[in-house]
Amino acid sequence: MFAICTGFTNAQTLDRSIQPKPAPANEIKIKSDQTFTLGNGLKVFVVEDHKLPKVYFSFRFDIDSKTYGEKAGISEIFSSVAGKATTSKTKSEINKSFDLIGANFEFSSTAGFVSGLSKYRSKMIELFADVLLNPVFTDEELDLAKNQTISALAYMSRDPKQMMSVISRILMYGKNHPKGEMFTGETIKKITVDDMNEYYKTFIAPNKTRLVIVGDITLAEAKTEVEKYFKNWEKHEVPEYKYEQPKAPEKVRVAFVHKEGAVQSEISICYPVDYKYYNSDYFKANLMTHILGGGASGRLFQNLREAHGYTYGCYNELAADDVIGYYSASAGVKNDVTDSAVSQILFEMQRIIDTPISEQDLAAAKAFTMGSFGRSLQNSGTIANFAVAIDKYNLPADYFKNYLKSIEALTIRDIEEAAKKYIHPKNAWIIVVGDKKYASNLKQFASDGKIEFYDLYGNLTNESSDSCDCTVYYLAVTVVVLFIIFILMKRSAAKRKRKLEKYR
Amino acid sequence: MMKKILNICIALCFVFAANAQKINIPIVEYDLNNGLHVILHQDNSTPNVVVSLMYHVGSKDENPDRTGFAHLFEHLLFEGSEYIGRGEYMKIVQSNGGELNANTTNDRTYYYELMPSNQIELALWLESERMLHAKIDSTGIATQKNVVIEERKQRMDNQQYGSFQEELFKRAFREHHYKWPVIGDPEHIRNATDKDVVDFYRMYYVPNNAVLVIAGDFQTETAKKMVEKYFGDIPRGSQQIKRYSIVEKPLAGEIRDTVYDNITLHAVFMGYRSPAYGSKDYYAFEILNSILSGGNSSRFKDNIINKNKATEIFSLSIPLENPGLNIIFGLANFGGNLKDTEDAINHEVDSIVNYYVSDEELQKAIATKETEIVMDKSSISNIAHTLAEYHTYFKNAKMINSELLNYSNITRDDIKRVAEKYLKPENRVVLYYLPQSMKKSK
Repeated sequence: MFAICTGFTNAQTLDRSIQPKPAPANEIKIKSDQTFTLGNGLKVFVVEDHKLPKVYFSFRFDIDSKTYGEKAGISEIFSSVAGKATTSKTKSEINKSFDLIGANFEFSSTAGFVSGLSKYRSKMIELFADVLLNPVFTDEELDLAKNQTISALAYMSRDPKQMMSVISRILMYGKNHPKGEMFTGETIKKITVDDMNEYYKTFIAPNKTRLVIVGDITLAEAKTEVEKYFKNWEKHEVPEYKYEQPKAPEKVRVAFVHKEGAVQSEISICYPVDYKYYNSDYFKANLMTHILGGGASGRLFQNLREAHGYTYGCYNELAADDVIGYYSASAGVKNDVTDSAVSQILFEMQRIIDTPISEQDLAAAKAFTMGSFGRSLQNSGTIANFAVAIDKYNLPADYFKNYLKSIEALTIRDIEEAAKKYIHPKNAWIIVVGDKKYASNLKQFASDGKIEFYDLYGNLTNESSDSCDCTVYYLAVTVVVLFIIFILMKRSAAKRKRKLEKYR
Repeated sequence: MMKKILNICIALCFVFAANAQKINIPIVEYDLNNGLHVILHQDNSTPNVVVSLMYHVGSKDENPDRTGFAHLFEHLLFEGSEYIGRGEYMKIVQSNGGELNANTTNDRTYYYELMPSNQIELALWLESERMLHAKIDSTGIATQKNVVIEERKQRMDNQQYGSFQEELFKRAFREHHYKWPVIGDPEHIRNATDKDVVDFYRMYYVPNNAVLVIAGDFQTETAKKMVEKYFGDIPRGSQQIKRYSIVEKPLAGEIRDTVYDNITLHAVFMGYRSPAYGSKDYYAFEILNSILSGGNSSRFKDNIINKNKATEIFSLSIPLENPGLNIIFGLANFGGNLKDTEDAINHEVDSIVNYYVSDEELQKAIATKETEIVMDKSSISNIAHTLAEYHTYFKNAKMINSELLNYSNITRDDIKRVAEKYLKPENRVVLYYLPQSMKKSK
């Protein structure tokens, strides 16, 4: 050990060994939202924020996910072709109109969004209303969307994180569940313009839409705009869908997907879990997963990165979902420590079940969670999201006003209960995407001592076969266009807008 | 000619009208006696505060046989200090409700804490300890060397096209230290010694090479006292700060090469030598980039992608302190011919070099910038970062309140001029990224 001293230790009044104490906390004020509903059932949530001259309109369609069988991919393709043409405007005209006012918009199978400067508010919503209410779907756009999707799949088939996302969903949910259904080049080919029209007519309805308006706008202005453009949007019945709930494996199963030339192993220990937004365990489960692997002070990060140097980062996630949630602990690790890394993750999962956390751990996690809550309020959209959640999940009106109190009230015992209920190292998939040279050491973790090799389609293969050159298979998650690279470039360029990696 | 002048007038009128909504980020700035520059932006709208420090040191300040050092060092400075135990730094921040992070570029290193506003003093103490008292043991060095090497794998080696920056810059620069990547050479990282660590710290992590920015919920006078309390007695650096002032000669001839990667979609990366961040040409180039690839009606989108001739194409400048690179990236369709993608790009580049852009295109680009500038002020973290960079590079944090002026006075002539000056074949590196399998079959 050595210390770096600047050689200047003047007699000083400041005793630097004392960690400063916090000042009294300033009150976290939660702004109020304002709500109104149109005759056609469109619910509107408005949060005024006049600090900056900007505003956005966000439409969220409340749609149950469903399987599409031989036409899997309908909702993804819809997202690609929606917003391209209307009964009165071509694609070029639409795009140019938005660009002239510097506004951004999108229209997908589950949401619509337009944002820009508030001085262009009326123009913005006029343009977007046309896109949303008078769409035209053409063969030309459909072909373009299919081609772009096939290229996007080809990109993703070589990306270890995307590969993990595909295979883990197939294994956790099964191919016949909406969350595990894959679309392929074959199923996409079968999708027609009629399917697009059908999707629009069936699912996009004012009575199944919540509209959030946030920014430099008054309630009166918002009402005027919304009534002007959406009063005549016709309501209709929207079908609902239910599926059998996927179950976690009864024992530990090890799945391996070979990636030629992988320089790291991507690991996920995961399983499906019945975990809904804002259920009765919501606060304790969140706090528990924060302690286990929520960030740089999480046990997974401290163990795998700071103590062992196996990885750049290891985190976990307990994801809530309207249908079925999942738990996953994941990391990209050095090839030759794949087995040690799995072993350490399982160790930490077991430890939080078996050993009560300390008072300090509890206090630290509470402070972090409360701090994050305060930070989230910087964005007025958070207030709107609270209002939407209260409406959608029938929460008490003061649910978020009491957020801090609810966190404050949690005990060590609560965390233990949450760990026992949601952390299942003995009923999990251990999935590794990496070079198969490093697979055999993983046998020790499988309950039956066997490693199951899969291709990216979720089909069992034998160990000797090479990984698929799969290019056209992907499952039903939103098609990300290739902005991944764009984001990477922005990030490395330290451009202001960049999205930062989690830690360092 | 008259018509053209008239058009410009119309465009300008539009722009002046657009100026009506002004950004006003109030700041107070001053220097401590030890040379530390301080910028305060008080905004009491929510009880949050960001405390950040930007040190004017990046990979371009590295010794050529110690590349990756600035970034490794960023990792090491989370290890602890005289009064903060190893690994405690992150725990202290998070257990007091905060978040922290840091990042390193070719030009500077940035550290920040986002805290509940009643913890402002804690953040100042932590950052002052980092500047005055860093303490790094050999276990920490060994661990972080491994972490950084894994970071390199995750971000570059295991990522499709992840090596493009390294591959472009090493060909585009012969002398300037932009020729190596921020993450550095793994061999150099492994070889870093304890002495290197001490020397680097003493040279660059001194108050006179840093700017402290505090933004958010505080009272300016109280904050000033706290800054003095924690930073006032940190001594000024005793050495002349070492800078390499290398002026890269023109590329003087196109460089073409092929990289074989674990990919399926063929891609082309073109790196054009480009103007330094903050120069008049830089902003004109930004407008040019917006016309090429900014909105959905930009030329690359409208003429190439929407016509199914490529999967993705864009053009962007990396904001570097010294003249750097503007990168045009083209991704072919699955099964498509990369030469066609390159031809389509070249066609658009030639067109912007040879012909004036339209008034409408200029208007769209400026509208897009205006929106970006406003959106960018949405969080105190963004504001703090922008203030820190403007001071570090230009010694002018007040630029934050006149960003739109950088763009609104750009003319069609400016765009033509920068297009002609920079978008020349002899000023670029062209890299084809092809699948490994094509190498074998060669």
